[in-house]
Amino acid sequence: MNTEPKSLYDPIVLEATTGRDDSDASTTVPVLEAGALSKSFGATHALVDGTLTVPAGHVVALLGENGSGKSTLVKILSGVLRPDSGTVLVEGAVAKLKTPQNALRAGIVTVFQEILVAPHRTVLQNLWLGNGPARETRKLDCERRKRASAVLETLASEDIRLDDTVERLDLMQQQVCVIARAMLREPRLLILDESTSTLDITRRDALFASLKARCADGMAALFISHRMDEVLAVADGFVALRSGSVVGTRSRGNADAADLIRLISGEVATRDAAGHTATSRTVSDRIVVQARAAVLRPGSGAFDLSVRAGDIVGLAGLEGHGQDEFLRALAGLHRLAGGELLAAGQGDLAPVSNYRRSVACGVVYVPRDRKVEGMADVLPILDNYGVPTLPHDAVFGLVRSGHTRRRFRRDAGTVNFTPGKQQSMGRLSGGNQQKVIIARWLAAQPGLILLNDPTRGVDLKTKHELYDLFRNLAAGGAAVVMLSSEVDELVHLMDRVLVFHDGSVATDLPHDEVTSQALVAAYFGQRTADGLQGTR
Amino acid sequence: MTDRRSETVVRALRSNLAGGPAQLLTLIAVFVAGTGAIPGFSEPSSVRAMLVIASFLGIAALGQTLVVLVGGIDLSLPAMIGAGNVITAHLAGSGQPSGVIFCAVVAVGLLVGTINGLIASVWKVPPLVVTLATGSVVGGAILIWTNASLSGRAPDWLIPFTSAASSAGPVPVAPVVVLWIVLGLGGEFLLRRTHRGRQIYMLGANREAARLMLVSERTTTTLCFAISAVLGGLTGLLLTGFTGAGLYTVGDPYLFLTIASVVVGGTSLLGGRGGMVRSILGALTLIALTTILVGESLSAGAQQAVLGAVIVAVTALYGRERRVGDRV
Repeated sequence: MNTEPKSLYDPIVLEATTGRDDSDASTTVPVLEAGALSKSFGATHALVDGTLTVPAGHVVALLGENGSGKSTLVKILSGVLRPDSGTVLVEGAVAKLKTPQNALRAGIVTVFQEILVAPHRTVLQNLWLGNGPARETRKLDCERRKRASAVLETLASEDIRLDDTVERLDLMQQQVCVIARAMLREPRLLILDESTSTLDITRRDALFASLKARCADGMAALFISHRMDEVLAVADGFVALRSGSVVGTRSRGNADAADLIRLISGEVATRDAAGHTATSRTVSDRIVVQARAAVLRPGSGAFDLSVRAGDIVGLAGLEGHGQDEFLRALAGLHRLAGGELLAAGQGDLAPVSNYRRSVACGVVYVPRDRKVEGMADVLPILDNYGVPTLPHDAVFGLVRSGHTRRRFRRDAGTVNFTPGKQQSMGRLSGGNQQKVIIARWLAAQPGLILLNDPTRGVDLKTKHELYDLFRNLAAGGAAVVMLSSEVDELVHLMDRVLVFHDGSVATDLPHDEVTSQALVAAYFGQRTADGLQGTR
Repeated sequence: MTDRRSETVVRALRSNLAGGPAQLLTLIAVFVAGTGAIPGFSEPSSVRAMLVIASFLGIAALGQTLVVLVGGIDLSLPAMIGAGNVITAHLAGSGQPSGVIFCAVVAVGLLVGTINGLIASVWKVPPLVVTLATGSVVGGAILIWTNASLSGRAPDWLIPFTSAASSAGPVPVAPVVVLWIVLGLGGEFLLRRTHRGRQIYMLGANREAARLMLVSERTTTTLCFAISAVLGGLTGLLLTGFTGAGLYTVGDPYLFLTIASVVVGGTSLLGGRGGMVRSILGALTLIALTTILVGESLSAGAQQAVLGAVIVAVTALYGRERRVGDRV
């Protein structure tokens, strides 16, 4: 499992493992050679002897759970952090990466996880932000437009208008802009750090095709994603990190998902991803969600459906096809354009009126964007857990913090989160933050749990813990309705998947029929349901 | 092992430095500097006088702290202080009992503060604009009412209440100082220990997340603005005892000073971080500093410039420490 540490220092081994074309790799200088990079923050060793080689023409995937050192490595390569020791060679020459400008000049362009745009500027201005002279001449402008359009076209995003301000674009389009900006810099090494998370399948495939085309011209890329399907689809070589150290490398030929997961998690026996436990659950006949001729937006089709307690129901579709509105409508955060929507938490089915009442009835909602809607990262974990349910702990209006702590320990146990010494929410990993947010709502004793893409940006191990948690919640009699943009998740976790197309439920797939092909077909409206069954 | 422990100690020290002792150390440093520079600076009589002056600023700053915690800023405080001052002097001058005066001041504060809070939270108008406007309305109304003249007189009980020479029972400071400290500690306690208190922090730290955590933006914001305006009015009332008559411009210096107290105390202007005790320390630091500048007989202009520079320096210092704390 673990490659012998010594072999990591042997460049021949590395090139052999990442090499797609051996003769090519041995004759040309790799685009990037990072040797023995180390970085510590106080007592924490974020990266120890990070060694990495990326040959020209290759896409190397950097794999690891949150906190494994990926981000630290990427930040060092982008000049954001300075390593305590180690060297970086770009095309054989020592690169001094003291500032992000240094890295850009060396040809290393990074697309970060956060979508960094200037929201009030136009798409064109954003695409050329910090690239070339700021003064605009007509000739330059014309040239820029031409190249920007060309790049957007390769990313299957011709629909983005160069003169729109970026704030008017949706999240996915903004992400495309950020990637296009990096492409326009003509990088020698392009680093994509979790920058595919909001892309739909069309845009993602276009990005991968574009990566391959550029790599054929001698570019190299470092690719980071928590989605195994993406990684396997695009990478030529794999480098796995765990606890700050490189623990193994694989090449395209000798890697498969199970092997890589083992490498990343360090567990000898990993859970079978397909470990589906629906059969062990008793699904009751209690209906917890019912839509009657529901219309999500003016002009979209009406649909009926119902969901029973004990089910895990997936909501899927291309970005912006109505699944998000449906989930938010269930939570009382989106008003239907027509029809009726009923939900039941602990009690009987009742029309959804507003968010506050929904929560009071045991219908809880975990939002998509943790940082924006889910939590306050500057406040203590205990506040982030307790604020909605603090009256439980109050006597004559005074909160007894011991009570809150006791409740938190109980609910944290349920979500498999171990409270450490860390007090501030912002310093937890993404997965642990998500656990705290879910624990917050477990305290409200929910009967219907609405999850908006809860595993986005969460590392693999935590993802599986969350899956187990969702299964347990469903087994305990709650209904789980979960929006997911990840095919694996939909295929393996869900008892049933509702695929949205054009603002309405187009396909209702029972577990046995959920395959990636069926999903993709449904995403594009290939199979329209003429008679949707309420229950399976 | 010991290495790790020392690391932990250093880390705890750093984060604690950003969260309290730094403010205390600043106050002590300013006090020591004052003792060295001005003869008689640390004499009991001088300290008692400084405490009285600090208490006026401090009570108003407690209100400003609440508004800043929910991510706002209250620019109507000077007008409210002026209003409280003029109302008190007028009503006392026409022989009204103290209970009536108190109720009138609190009622005006509640009215103005509630309007501030509702406009800011329901119509989503930036608090900066709302409070600037209501402050202007209140200031204008007072001006019309009093014809910009010094008028009325202070209620009799108020003069010993705010006199540096008097003492509150066994405590050798003016009762107004005790009132200030009690309000500040009480406020801090309620902020920490009540549901609404935690909601104030959540709302200031992340509005959208707070909404999904069932925090009512309207109620919480309005409460903070209302308390701020009431405390502003109360400051004006108490100032009558110090000034002896009503003058609508009495609150003018307090705009800069209340915000400065909050910031020097280490409460974040972005909202969600800070507290009342910090602002008490902030107000004390500012008054000690002003006393030094006056003692060095700097001109009013020079005082202002030095005070501004010191605030920039102090906040830069706290800001840096907080970032170090975040990084580890």
